Amino acid sequence: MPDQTTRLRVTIDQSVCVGAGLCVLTADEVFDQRDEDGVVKLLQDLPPEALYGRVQSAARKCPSQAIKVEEVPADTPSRLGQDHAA
Amino acid sequence: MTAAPSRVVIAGAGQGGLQAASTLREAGYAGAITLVGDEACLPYQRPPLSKGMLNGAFDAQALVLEELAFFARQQITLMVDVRIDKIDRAEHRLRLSDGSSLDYGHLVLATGARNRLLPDHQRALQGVHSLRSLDDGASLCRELGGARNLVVIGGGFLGLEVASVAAGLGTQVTVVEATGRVMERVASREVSEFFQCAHEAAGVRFALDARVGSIEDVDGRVAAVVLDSGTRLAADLVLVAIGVQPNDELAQEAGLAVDNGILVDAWLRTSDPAISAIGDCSAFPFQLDGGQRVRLESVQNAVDQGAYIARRLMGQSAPYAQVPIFWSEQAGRRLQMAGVTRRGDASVVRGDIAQGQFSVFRYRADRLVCVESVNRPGDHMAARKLLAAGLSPSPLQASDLAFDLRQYASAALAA
Repeated sequence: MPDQTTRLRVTIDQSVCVGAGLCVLTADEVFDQRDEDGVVKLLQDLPPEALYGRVQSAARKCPSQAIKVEEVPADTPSRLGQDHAA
Repeated sequence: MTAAPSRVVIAGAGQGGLQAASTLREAGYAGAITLVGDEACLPYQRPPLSKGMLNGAFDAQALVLEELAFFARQQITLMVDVRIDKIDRAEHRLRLSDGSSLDYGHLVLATGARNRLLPDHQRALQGVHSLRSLDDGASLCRELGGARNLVVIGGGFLGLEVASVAAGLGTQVTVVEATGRVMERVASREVSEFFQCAHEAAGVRFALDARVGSIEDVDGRVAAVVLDSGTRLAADLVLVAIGVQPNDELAQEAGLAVDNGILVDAWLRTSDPAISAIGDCSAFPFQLDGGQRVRLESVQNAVDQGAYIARRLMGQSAPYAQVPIFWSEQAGRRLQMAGVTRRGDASVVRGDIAQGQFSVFRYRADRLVCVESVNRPGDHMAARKLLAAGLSPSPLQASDLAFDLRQYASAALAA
């Protein structure tokens, strides 16, 4: 678990997503599926600590390893709206 | 609303059982949870065993669904490498293979299914494999790299997925299928024929309407599969993938109603209200098909039923009514299915089969029951909405690419 100086950042690889939807079932505050093709979209990339357990579980449950969770410095800005605009 | 039981025991630590345990905690359940698994490892996911794990894209450690720390944090007792030998329903007590016993307030049977064996022939020959567990996957993986001739017995999802990976590794693959087309039980003729062609283009050969007469060996190592017709297929590796049977004996011995799966009602309760059954082992009344009983073998079904049972134990009263979904990856194509189709359903094609981008809408009478999509994920997403809402576009609408399914679903839902 990260300490006070780090936090978890979620990134997704939409090119490998198979649209199984297990991430949405596991953490629907963080993941959703695009209507047009079912591909995963991120609702937030820097989730609050209360969601860490479920976000990590969603990453493990993904059958195509499309979700990555990494520890980043606590002051890391959100990247949503840039490369993950869905 | 009935009070939640004081102690929930989940028999089976697969994806469904694990989901039941974790959703119970998420829903605020404060009682004891025990998850009992018969494999000697942490719960793991099986879908990559026939796909990415075989070509090295996925390693075994990545299959683990939750690490030990999760179980400690969630106060879920995980027992591994132990079987449940007997259910004493009168005492609400389980007898375990390690000699201990375990009391339950509510018992969730998530015992899954096991692979069918080839009658008569499946002696312990080197090179003859089956694929369901992590160990099975590792052992198949070890042999696949060096194999020259793989014979896959059974042209269902599992067999075809493995055939696809093996062909990609340069192995000569022959698929032996007992019926007239691949995926005969679960998919439309259009989808079967499309995938057979796609596999053939990748070098896979097929023997349809074919039955295995015998398996030949040399010094205990498989050498050939001989068909009833007399055709001899050279083989240094064989995969038997002829379907599964539900693990329902434990329930049956306890006197619960069983018929190709443990029979449950619309709330997934067995004939004993203190016992529920979910996932591959459970035969439930399918709400989207007039309550006709169905037993599904899929991750989505196991996970959704696991989550459902947790919420039901916490007081939710609605019956189980999720739209079944399924996916497969073969010959570089993605097949996505929503709903359940049966032999005799009518097919309406949307898109272009020759281009490899199409969906098959399956109708029973005038009602849409299933949509199979090949590289048309948008149709799949729309189909999930249509089926959940009980909407049936007309066959003419379904086949018209200018007809916007998403808009139709949204408009009908809003009306």
